[in-house]
Amino acid sequence: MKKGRNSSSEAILFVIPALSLYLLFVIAPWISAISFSFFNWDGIGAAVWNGFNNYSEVFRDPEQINSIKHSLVLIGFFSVVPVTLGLILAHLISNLETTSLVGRISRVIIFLPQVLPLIAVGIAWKLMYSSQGVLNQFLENVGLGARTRGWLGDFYFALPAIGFVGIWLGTGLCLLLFNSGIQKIDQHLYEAVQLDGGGRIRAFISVTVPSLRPEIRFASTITMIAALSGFDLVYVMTNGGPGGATLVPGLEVFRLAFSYNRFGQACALAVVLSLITFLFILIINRVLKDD
Amino acid sequence: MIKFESVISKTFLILMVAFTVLPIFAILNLSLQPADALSTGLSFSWDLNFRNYVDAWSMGNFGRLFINSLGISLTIIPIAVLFAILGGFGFYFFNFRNKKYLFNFFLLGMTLPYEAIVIPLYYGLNAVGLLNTSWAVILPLLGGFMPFGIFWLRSYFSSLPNELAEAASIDGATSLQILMKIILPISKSAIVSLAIFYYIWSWNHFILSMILIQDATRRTVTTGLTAFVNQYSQNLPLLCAGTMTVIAPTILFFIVFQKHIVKGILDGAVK
Repeated sequence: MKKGRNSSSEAILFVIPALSLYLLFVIAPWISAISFSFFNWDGIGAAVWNGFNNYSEVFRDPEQINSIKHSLVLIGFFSVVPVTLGLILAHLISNLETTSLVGRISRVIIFLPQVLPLIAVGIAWKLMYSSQGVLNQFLENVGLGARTRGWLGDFYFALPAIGFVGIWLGTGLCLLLFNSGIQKIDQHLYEAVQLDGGGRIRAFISVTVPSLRPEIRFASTITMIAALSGFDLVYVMTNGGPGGATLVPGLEVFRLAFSYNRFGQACALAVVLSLITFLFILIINRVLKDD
Repeated sequence: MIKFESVISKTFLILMVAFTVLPIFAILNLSLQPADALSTGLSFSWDLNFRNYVDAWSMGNFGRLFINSLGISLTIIPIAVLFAILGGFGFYFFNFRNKKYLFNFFLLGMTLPYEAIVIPLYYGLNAVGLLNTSWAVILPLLGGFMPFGIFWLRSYFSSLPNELAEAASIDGATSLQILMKIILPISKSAIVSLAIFYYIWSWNHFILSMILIQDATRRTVTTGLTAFVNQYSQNLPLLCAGTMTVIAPTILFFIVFQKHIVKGILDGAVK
């Protein structure tokens, strides 16, 4: 509505219930985390002012800086790969009638991972990766028996294995988002490319991708938030192991606080995590702005 | 040519569907094997064993967990939906000073991970005696759900035709009357979608309940399932049956409301 009412006092009455819940249970704890982050505190004794030392420790302590690096790797798996794959797949199946029964049923099934609890997803994939699991069974059947291993117990493969679950989680969602976006693209744009003698790849780069900008922005935002939290999956699949190879910031915050009793340090990492998340979302939304 | 391409499309789609159901099918399959089954691979036999479900239900105390989680979701949904409607309408209908800043301040909340606020919540809730109660999860989730709800409903209200609200406004209707009599009746689908999202998010939520509710009898389905899986990590069919027990209602719920959920997300994406 263009001409809304100019009544600040009335507007406040409508907004205040939501605002107070948000202030009390999200913003206040967050501000309190920021203030904790400048102290050394074991949770029981007196808190001691520590300036910015907890923050420099975030970047010095190998466990903490590694957890941040791991979450950047996970962004690749949870966000970059699904968005790219989703775009390609959506372009490939764009000629398929998705209103057909097969199309409708596939849509529902492909969407399913979005509604499952990540804890259950993690349990299922942990079994897929176990030494007797489906993945190894598959490798043996195609003659790659020598490549089998306990994937989540392997120092080098554990993080990519968790990342692959991110691909499983995100690709279907991206495919559906982009598929519904493609239906709205003006067919004349594609015909114009054809008249110019361009093939499907040209059409993909110069029509599909630019037209789907809002969908790409949305998909990147939610998959990135999923990548940077990642606590549930890691907690149930590896609990950060083996040898810290899959530690992510969310889990490290939890360990610093409740295993090492370093509450100030935990809060500093929590603040860094929220700043990283905010920064990535900001960049994505700036780069993919409509104009 | 066209026929050939559509065969390729269908093949991709079917591969995607198979890839999606594979892990779910794997645990479903394993959950029906005899309790001493060791292989976690895909080996199907018609000798189905439902005993695991009966055992899991009682050993994992899932009845209790379902009641706890249902209590949390059913408390959150009406409050969160009501407050989101009021807030979303407030941002849609009124002009006020610093409106844009206040709205962006809400949006900020969508990027804040729960991991970043859980430690202060632990101490804050402990101080007021709410640690280890359902409220320890309900209150932070309510706060955390506000940004999305306001964003979602404001976008939806803004997409409605203006004339109705304007006409009523000229006729001297109060803003509450405009919300109740004009906006709400034509916004049912957006509100139902929002309620469904709130249900799924609260039901699936893990980190807050894991840290803020330590008492085993008050656990939610997700934390209870994690404890169950850790306790019976050797009995794979049993732990798969427990996992299936937790996700079955969600899958059923999803099938019933799939129109709202899939369409809701796909439409909401571009706003």
